[in-house]
Amino acid sequence: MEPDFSRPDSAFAVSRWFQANLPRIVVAPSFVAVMVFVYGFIVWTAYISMTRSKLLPRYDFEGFFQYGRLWSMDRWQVALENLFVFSGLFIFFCMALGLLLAILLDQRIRVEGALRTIYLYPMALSFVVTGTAWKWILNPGLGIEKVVQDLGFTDFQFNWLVDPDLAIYTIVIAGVWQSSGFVMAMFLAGLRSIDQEILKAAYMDGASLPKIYLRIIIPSMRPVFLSAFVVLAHLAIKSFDLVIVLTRGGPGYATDMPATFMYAMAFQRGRIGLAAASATIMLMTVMAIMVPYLYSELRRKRDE
Amino acid sequence: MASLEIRALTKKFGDVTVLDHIGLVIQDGEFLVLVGPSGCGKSTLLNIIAGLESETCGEILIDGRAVNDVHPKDRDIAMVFQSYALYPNMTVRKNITFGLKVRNTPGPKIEEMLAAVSDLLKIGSLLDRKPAQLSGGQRQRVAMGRALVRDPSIFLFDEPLSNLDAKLRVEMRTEIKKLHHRLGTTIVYVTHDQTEAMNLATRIAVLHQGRIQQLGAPQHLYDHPDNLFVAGFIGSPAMNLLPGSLSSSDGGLYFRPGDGEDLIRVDHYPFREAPADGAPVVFGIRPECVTLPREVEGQARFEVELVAEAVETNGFDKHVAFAYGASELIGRLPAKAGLVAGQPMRVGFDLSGISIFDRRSERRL
Repeated sequence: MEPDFSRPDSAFAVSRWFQANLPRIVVAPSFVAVMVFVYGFIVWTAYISMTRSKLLPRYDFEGFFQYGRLWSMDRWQVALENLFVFSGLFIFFCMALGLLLAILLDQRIRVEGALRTIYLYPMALSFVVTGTAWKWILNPGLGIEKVVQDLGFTDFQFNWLVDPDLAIYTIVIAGVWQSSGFVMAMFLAGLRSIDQEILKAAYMDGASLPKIYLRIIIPSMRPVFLSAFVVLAHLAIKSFDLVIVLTRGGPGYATDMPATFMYAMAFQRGRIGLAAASATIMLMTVMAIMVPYLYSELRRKRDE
Repeated sequence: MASLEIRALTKKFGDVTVLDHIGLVIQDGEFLVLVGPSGCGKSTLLNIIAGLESETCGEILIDGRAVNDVHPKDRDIAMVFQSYALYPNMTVRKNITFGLKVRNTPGPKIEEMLAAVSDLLKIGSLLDRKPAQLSGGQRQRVAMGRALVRDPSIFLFDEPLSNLDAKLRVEMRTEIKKLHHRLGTTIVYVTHDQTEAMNLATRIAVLHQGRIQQLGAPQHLYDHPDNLFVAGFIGSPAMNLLPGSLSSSDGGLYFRPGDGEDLIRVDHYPFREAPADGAPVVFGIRPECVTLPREVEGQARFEVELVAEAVETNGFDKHVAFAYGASELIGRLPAKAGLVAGQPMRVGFDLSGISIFDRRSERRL
């Protein structure tokens, strides 16, 4: 823009200052909000976890007392174990299924657009809806078990939802159903971004189709795998609504996750300090997985 | 090394005929360039030769053996692509040896072939880099190395130089030419750039609207274009094409441009068949034959006074646009020629290398 020399210098200076700093001014409120409500409260939570807070927060520093109690609780052990079982299976099956669907859809088939929408559709639903639907489907008295028994197979049993050892897998099923279509869309976009001439070249080099996928296409989709992993990992770790709707953490606390554990401690049992300790552990778990992964990926990108 | 024959090859996409009864015989060791404007079907033809697309009908023979139903990998053909198509996840070394490994070539043999190719293309220092770390010219070399290493009997090039900058393109062009000299492999090369075609080919096939318009040595195509399309396509700046008619008077045969009064004597022109008097024709003359009168040698000449409308200098000569009746005429004048845009000047036509086309059939007379 042309500077306006007819105005007095001070006004000009102010407008120049605004022009130079406008981006910062616009971003400032959200920056402040994020600093306070995300990072500020992370620090607050971490501090609370070091106190004897019960129903209300108390601010006398007590050290790692709450952590000791937390790790001695069987319910917390179950919740952590569930988290690893669930996130491991959830991420693996979502990726495997998503990649398989994407590869199949990438074969230039008919009605691809319609199929893509069908697979992607569950993502449009809230986990609450998914959970409710699967609760009915998996309910022995209402869903699959009853239907098959009504068909005459009276010995048929499918009661994972009420089996303390197997209930966690029903959450995996519902989660995979919901999210694998989205992963498929990501992989499909990745597959589509690969130059068709590379396929032709590999074809002429004599590679079979499975070999082309295994040796060339899938390895060159590394960034898509990272994105899918990040999305799925955060879905897995924050999985709260699905568990609450599908099993309420039950039977007993068999399907408790750290998130539901924390909620129960903070808002039902009045043990804020313990809840804060579990929240801190969750944060550290996430960081332990994500930070090295992101670091190695970002460094690799810089090297290339 | 092998010969390649294409018989009555037709390709249709739905109702659209992309290739229409293409017939081509490519001798062992030949460098054939398929050239044509975009959408003329040249890349489709190349893909069909490679086996990446299927033909609607027709035959492809390599060394006399029909390969229509042979898998691309068994046709003993290697292809270099426009985008280089290097495998992004593999190092240069792995890119080049991938095809050999897939074919279960023994390890020491792979090493030997890799060394030979990297020597030939001077890419020895790049072997452990990824494609993303290479410049355009280097990628081009690696792509060629990947094709070379398999020692195929036929090379296909699909516009391999069009992603390079002008200087590098000329360099790589020379290198491809040298490579062909050294290896003597049969090459089919697709490009839309007629300069590239002229420089590289032992023979050029000009493709337009799914048909081969003319097939022949570069110089022959330049001097004796078979039809108006080839005349306009080969050569830069393009051949001047003046519509007009033939007329005989005083016992001589003349070309009369448009509705002008000039009579250009064309007695010496080797007509393929005796033209009719007053026949509507297109008169084609190369820009280098439109120059200063003193530059024109020989008897077949014509002089006229024209106004230079625009002058482009490129160092060794000048391209000058003259208005000639309703048409524009491009001439190439010596760089030293003193001329001013807007001024009338004497211009000489060297008529020894003209082309005359029937205006209706667009074919050479």
